[in-house]
Amino acid sequence: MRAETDEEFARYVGARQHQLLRAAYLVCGDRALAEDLLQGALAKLALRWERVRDDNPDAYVRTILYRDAVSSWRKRRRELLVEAVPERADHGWADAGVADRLDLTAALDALTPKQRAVVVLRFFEDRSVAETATALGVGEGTVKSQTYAALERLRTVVPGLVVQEDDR
Amino acid sequence: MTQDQLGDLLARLSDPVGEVDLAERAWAAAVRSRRRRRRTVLGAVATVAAVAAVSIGIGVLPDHGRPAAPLTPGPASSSGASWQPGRSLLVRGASVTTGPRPDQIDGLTELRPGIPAQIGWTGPAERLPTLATAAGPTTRVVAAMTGRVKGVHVPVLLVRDSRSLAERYVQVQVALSPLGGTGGDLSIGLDARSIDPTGTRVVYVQADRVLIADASSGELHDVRLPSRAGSLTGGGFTDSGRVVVTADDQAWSISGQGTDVHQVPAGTSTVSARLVGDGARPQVIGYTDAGLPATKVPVDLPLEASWGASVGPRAWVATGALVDQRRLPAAVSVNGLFVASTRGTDLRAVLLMDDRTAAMVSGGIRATAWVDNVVIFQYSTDGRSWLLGWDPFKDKVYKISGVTAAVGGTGTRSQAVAVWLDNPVP
Repeated sequence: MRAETDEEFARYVGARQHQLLRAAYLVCGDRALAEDLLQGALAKLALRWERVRDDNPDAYVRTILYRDAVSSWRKRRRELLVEAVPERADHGWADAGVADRLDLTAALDALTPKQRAVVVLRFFEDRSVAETATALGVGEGTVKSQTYAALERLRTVVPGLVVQEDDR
Repeated sequence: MTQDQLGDLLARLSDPVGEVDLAERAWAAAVRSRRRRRRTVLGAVATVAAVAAVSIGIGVLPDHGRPAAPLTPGPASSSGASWQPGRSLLVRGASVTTGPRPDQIDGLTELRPGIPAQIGWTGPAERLPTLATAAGPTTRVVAAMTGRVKGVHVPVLLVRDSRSLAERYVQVQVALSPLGGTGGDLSIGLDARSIDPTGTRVVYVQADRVLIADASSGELHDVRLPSRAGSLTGGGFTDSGRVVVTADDQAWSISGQGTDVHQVPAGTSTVSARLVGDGARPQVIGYTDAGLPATKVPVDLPLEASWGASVGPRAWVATGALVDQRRLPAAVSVNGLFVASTRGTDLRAVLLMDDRTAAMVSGGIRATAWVDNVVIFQYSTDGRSWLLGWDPFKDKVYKISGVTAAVGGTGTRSQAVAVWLDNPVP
C-alpha cells in the first residue's frame, strides 16, 4: 500500500464524504462522532481499495459505516437511556423550520439504533428495502418491520407524522 | 406527510454538518493500520521462532526450577511473550493505545515490583489468623483487601516479615460497612494511599469512622469523628504518615495512632496532583505540600468521569476513568487509564481497557500505585481481576498479579486491593 493517497480514492471520497457524513450524523446524533465513524469506515475502504474500486465502493463503505454507527450508538445509548419519551413541543407539525427539526431530533432519539439506521437509509438515503437489508446485514422482513416500528414510534412523538409507506 | 417530505426534513436536520476533507486522513490511517498489522505478524513469528530455539536448545525448565521472583522494585521483565500494541490513535495530541484483551493478559511480560504474582485469600476469612498473631516490629502490610466472615465484610491483609520475607494472610476482626456504595455494591474504603509509606499501617475509611490497623502492634484504632464531620467519602495516608479523610465539604487530619484529630481546610488532599473529570472538562489539580489545591489546569483528554484515586510522581499524574465516547471513534472501550503531565502538555495518553464483549462498562479500573515510570492499576472484568502496569513512555503493558480478592461492582468507588511496594509510595 503506497504512503501517498491514491488519486482515485481521493476523488471518490471527495464526491461522497459530505453525504455520508450527514448520514452518519443522523444515525449517531453527534457531529464529532460522525466524523470519526466516517474516517474509520473510509480507512477500512482504503485498505481494500484495490479490490473494491471497480465493484461497488458505495455499498462497501455504507455497510461499514452503518454497522459501526449502530454499534457505537448502541453502546452510548445504554448509558443515556431514559424511560420517558421526550416532551413534544407545542406547535403544529405543518410548521416547517427549526421547531420541526427539534421535534424530529427528539423523535429520532426515541428510536432504537437499528430503527434509526433504517429510517436514515430508507428516507434520507432513499435506499430500497433490499439495499437497506444488505447495508445492515439483516433480512428484508426485518427492515420492513423495523421501518413500521420506527414510524409508529415517531408518530408517538410527532402525531402529525403520517408517512405513506411503499414497498420499494 | 410523504416519504419525500420526511427525507427533506432529515436533510434539513443534517444541514448544519459542515464540509470535511477526509481522504488523506483516512488513507494515512489505513497505511498506519497496515504497517502495525505487519509488525504484529512479524513479531509473533519472531517470538515463536525464539521460543522454539530455546526449547530445542535447553529444554523446558520445570516449575520448581524457576528462581523466586525478585522482591526489589523496578521493572524486572520476565522472558514471557510481550504485548506490543503500538499507538493506535491520536486525539488532539493525546495518544490513545488499545490495551490487551482479558485473554491476552496471561501472555504479557511480567513485572515484579515486590508483590506476589497472585493476591487474594480464597477461603473463608474466619479461618485466617488475626493480625495480632502476625504483628511485630518487622511486619509490613503488602496488600489490603476484604473478606467475608458469616456474611460480614472484614479487612484481610497480606503481611510480610521484612526479615524472613515470609508472607501470610490475616484478618482484622472488625465489621466493615459500605462507604457510599452504589448499586448494592460494597465500597470498602480502600484507595491508592490506604497503606502508609512505611507499610506499617493500613486505613479503611468508613462512612462514620476511620479504622487504622497497625501491623507492628496488631492494634486496631477505631477513630470516631465529631458528628459535624458528616458522611466520609474517602481518604488515605500523607507522606508524613498522617491520615487525611474527606467529607463533602470538610477534611480531617488524624495521626497514624488514631489520635490528634483535627479539622483541616476543605479540599485537602494526600497527593501532589489529581486528574479529575466529573462531567466538567478534565483538569489537573495541583496541591501544595500541605495538601491544599493550588492550581487547576484544563487538560484535553477524552475523559468523562474519573474513578478512584490519582497516582503519579510530581511530573505527571494518572487515574482510571470512563472514556468519553463522543471524543473517540466507534468500537472503542469505555474503561481507560489516563495520564497527563502536571507541567505542560508534553504527556497526554490513554490506555483503553475493554473486553469488547459488553455494550456497557464491563469492569472496573483503578490507579493503584506507580513504580519508576510504570502506573500500576487494577483492572476487573467479567468476574476476574488483575494488577497490571503501564509504562506510557514505552507504551508497554505488564502483568503484575492476578487478584482473587472480592471485586467491587462496576462504576462504584470500591477497590479490591491496595498494595504497598517496597519503595515508599510518593
